[in-house]
Amino acid sequence: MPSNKVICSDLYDCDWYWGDLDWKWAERLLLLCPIGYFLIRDSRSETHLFTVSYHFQDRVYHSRLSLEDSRRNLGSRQPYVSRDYWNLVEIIERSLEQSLTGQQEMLHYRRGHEAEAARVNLTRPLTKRELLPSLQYLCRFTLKTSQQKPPTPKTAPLPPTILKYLSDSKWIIPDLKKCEEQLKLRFCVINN
Amino acid sequence: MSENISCERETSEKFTKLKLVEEENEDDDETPKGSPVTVMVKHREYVKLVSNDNHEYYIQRDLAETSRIIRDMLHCPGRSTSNCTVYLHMVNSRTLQKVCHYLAYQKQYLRRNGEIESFNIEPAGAMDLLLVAGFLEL
Repeated sequence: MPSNKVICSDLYDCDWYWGDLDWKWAERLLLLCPIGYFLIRDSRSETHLFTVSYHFQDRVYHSRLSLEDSRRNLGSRQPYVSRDYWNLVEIIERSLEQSLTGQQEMLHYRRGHEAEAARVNLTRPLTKRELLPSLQYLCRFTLKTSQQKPPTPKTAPLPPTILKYLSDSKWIIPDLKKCEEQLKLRFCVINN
Repeated sequence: MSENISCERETSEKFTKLKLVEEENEDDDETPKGSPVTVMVKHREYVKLVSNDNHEYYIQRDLAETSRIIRDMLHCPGRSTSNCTVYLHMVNSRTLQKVCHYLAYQKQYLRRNGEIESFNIEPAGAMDLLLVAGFLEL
């Protein structure tokens, strides 16, 4: 299994990784995007680490990514990933590449329905950068992902609001309501 | 003697070109140490942001007013409409420059469909920038 350091240095640097984003918000955001857009988030399933959520046939579907060999992982024929891979980013990118090239069908999940296999064309990741996150978010992200210890201000202790903002466990996720507004600006204007 | 650094970025057709001008002091015989460089602001669509070390940044008003705090400072009661200067006594020039660049970056990519380059922040200055961003509600 990869260490946390690998996750921190590699996965957090990937703009398509949305951390502990829940499925409702994943659907809300992706439904505003063109078909084929996708994102990677943490899986709520105990047996899988990640989920790829994607806009397909006017709905949002979710497929699970695992680090272990499993025929019930993402594809119906061969396992997507194996224990040989130690780099999480490589695992995810390989999985996505296989779906892009149509090598495998994806086993996808929709709320209240049984899992079904289908060929999916993932065209473009929904990145956090596209949604122009706030300057506060960008600063916090830099502080959290940088290896060096953040310098403490010389003048006075940090304000409670800043301390609370820095200690938020979901620091990887930007302000979702603002993300939604930005997506409406970007895509709904184009579509209308 | 002042050194003008102009950053011009192309935007979509809906927006006019952004212009961010930084006026910096350099120590020489003509300019006394510590004195601010003054440049006439010809149009009211530009505002002047002054850092605590007397560096002046000229930025389009609509960019500056992205921050509600700056907007309130510019529109506070009793303030002359021709007064387009905001003194940010708690912000150093390096941090203020980064704030100005962020405002230009944000507007450059607003409504833009396509690749968006990342906005890089140096870890060493991230904490100071976070405090200022929190104050300015950016």
